[in-house]
Amino acid sequence: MQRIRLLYEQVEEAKRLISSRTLLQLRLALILLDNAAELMMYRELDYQFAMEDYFARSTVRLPGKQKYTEAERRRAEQEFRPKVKLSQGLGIFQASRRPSFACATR
Amino acid sequence: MRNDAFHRGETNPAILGPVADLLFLTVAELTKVFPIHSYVVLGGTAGGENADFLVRFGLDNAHELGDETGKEKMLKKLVEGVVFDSALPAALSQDLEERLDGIVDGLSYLNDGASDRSQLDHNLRYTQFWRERGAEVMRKAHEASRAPRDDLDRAYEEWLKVPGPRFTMDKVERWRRQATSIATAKHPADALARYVGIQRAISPLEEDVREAVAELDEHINMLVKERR
Repeated sequence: MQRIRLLYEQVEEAKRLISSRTLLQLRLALILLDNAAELMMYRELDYQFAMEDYFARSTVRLPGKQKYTEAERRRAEQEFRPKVKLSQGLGIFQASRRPSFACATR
Repeated sequence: MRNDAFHRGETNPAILGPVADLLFLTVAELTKVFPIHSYVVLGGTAGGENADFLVRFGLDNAHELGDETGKEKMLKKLVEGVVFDSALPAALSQDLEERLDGIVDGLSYLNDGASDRSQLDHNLRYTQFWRERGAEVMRKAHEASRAPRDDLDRAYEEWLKVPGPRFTMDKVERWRRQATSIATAKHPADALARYVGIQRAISPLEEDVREAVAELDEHINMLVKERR
């Protein structure tokens, strides 16, 4: 639960910083928000990779080839844009009512 | 824009506020969109900071954290009092317009205050030609003990066709029109994407003009000091 709480509190703190409208606070808010987005993507992709590994090892075989290559996984674990790309593949951003996150972070 | 901000420390104060607003609302929305697959409540009941958090976000208990109703409540709490005033497209548009006007002003300054468009355009093209090819043509002509004029004229005409100038007054004016139209973008994220596209295109020219203006200023200051 603590992990979830800290993520929300990070976004909450960014809101407080943004309300000040000073240059430093706005920059700090951007860093917090960017990191919060990256954490959410990381956790979801981590879950998806684990799911894939689980089914790859189990007797219950899912049809189709491997969804994520090792290179894709490695890049997504280390860099921001590959995380966005794989998250887009999950349909995460389409579910958002807000304008595309990928666009906002371009 | 993310790379500029985090890896090069470059942020534009004129648009930072509305960009932060947009990113906040986007990330807040993502907290609802990303699934929460599992979590543990030690002892079965949230205590301490966790309990305070649940109260602050209007949740009755920790079990609500992962369900849609709970996430909707938390999203509402996050965005409470935040109004996106849709000033972003106008701010982005104005910022680019001012920067493009600054480029034209800089070009004019570098041309002894000239405002004649065709003169500015010619000098803008010729400067690029000189960097890419002209200086080399001049050097070779000099080595061959020839007057460089004809070689330069021929090379310039060829260069105008292939590869051609990267920056022209036509392009600057087209970017200016595109910058103006950003103000009417319906989605702030769309405005931001268009802004980033134009910014990428104009940045090398903007940087070049800025440096040339600084060099000219420095040169003039040195001459002023020499006179004293």
